[in-house]
Amino acid sequence: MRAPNENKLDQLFKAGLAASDNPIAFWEHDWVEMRKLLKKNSSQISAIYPFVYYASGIAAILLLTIGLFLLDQQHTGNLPNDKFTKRVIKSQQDHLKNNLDQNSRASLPVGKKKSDSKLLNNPKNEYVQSILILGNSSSYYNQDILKKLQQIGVNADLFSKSNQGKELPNMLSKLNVIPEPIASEDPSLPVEREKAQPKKPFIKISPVFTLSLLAAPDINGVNSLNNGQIGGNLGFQLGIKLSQKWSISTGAVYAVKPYGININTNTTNYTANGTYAQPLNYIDANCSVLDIPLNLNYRLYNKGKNTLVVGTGLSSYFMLRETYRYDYGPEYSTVQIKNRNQHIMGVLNLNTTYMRRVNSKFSIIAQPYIKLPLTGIGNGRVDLQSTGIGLGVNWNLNLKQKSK
Amino acid sequence: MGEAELNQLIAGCLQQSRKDQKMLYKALYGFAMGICLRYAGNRYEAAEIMNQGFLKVFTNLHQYNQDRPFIAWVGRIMMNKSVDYYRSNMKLAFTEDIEMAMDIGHDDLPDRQLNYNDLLTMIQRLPNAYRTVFNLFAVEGYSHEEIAKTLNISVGTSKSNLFKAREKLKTMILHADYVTDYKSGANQQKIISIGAVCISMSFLINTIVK
Repeated sequence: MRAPNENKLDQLFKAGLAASDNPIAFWEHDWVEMRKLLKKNSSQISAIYPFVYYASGIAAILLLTIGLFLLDQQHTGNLPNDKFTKRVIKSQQDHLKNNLDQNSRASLPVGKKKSDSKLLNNPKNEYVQSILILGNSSSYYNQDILKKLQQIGVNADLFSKSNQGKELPNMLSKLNVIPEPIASEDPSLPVEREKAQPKKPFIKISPVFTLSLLAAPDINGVNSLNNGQIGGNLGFQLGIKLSQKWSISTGAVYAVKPYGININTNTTNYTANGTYAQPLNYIDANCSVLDIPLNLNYRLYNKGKNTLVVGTGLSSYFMLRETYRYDYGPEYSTVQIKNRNQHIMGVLNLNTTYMRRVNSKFSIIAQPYIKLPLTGIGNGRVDLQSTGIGLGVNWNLNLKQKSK
Repeated sequence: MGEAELNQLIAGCLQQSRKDQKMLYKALYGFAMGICLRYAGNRYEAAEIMNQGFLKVFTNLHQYNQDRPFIAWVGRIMMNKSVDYYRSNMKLAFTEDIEMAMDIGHDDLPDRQLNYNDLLTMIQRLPNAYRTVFNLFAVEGYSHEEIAKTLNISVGTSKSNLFKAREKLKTMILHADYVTDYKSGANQQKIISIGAVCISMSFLINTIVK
């Protein structure tokens, strides 16, 4: 605001227009328009909320489907379409052709046949070159190559018995083959080797999916958990394992959160002069909430059947129904609100998960957690905290993989 | 309306009671319309702005901070809605920028009070941009810096619009003063008196001639 306005014209209008003795007649037509607006607004809101629920459900199903698809793809062994794989396939075709020409057996057992030795001693043979790479490269690169060879089914016996390439040089030496690099063949290969060796990727190419069903009693309180009231949670969590240690999880939890606010403690946004003439003493609240968490988890400990994971993240609260009972001493008033408030990423999650494996598919989990609001929650914008312990079952969706 | 009654209506509106919403709407209608009329070009526009404002009141009632008077909260919403309504039109016209607007003389304004309807008609005859700036400066008490920030215009444009609004209003007041005097019969009385003299003189001459 500025200094007092001394302009006579301004003063004339300010005084004249601010005069309260000019009643403006009420037009019923204006209220009719207002009612239309209110109706339109409420129908828009009621249209948005089912969409949120359906979208959440669809997202969860999509995630699940993608996970299962990736899993399926991983185990059906789709061939990588790279230069190396094509070359190995061609080598194997040539090899089979040679063997047929030589009237030998279709397979290639190592170190037993002289023809194999001849074959392997032929430096121009691409198949031999491939094996030489295995014998000469680093262990990481060996594993990579071996995986590719195993995927396309090339000489499974040779590579499975070779203990993932570690014994291959010995086997080759038995065949009087001196492993030599084939840098002249493809100059990019050594470079790839150098690049691939030292770094271990944070995110695996094929993530592992888990599904947890959880039920949790918890304590809810405003500003502190003293005098908190007991509520309940029921929901599911979808976990995506990004690496050995890291994973993310999301899901949907239906929560019932009862809590009380003692106005005399002056710990809330409510004032003693409430919406009634009498002083407001106490508010008894009961809220149904859809909690959509998004957490990042780190595996602290994993030995035998026991795993310990810590996690943190943010939760979005969708207030489905809020019931408030305002206590004004002898009088009280009840207010119920549906689908009005939502707090996107408005709550901080901190949790620890203890997991005990029952078998390769299932684990039982216990998850103590605390939820701290970053924004005011509900109609009264209160600092609603919750703590509890989730108990449930965890299902490893990657059924064909051994749990690590 | 008493505070207890107002609080009852607010509680009812929080429960989405249409009856309570209408009662609150009627109770605050004159106050809200009074604000919107100042910013609008006519009553229909004002009603549209006011209803948008009431929609915000009803949908954000839970955010109302009870430390402040409810009427002030509603007034603030109405003013903001009025400004929002015209903000988009501000760029289309009257964005002339001057660094230092000259202050027009205001000592020659008539001393007597104009009534509410006269003032409202005058302010509604101003172009939107002039009217909004004049309202914010003269009636609400905002500074040019605050107006510039609120309307997303430069301080120079705000000063320019205020200057031109005052200029136009002054012209209207002086003209209205002449018209009002004419309507009040002061001039007619003079004409009649002259006429009366003429009639009486001609009557006297005629009498003498006869």
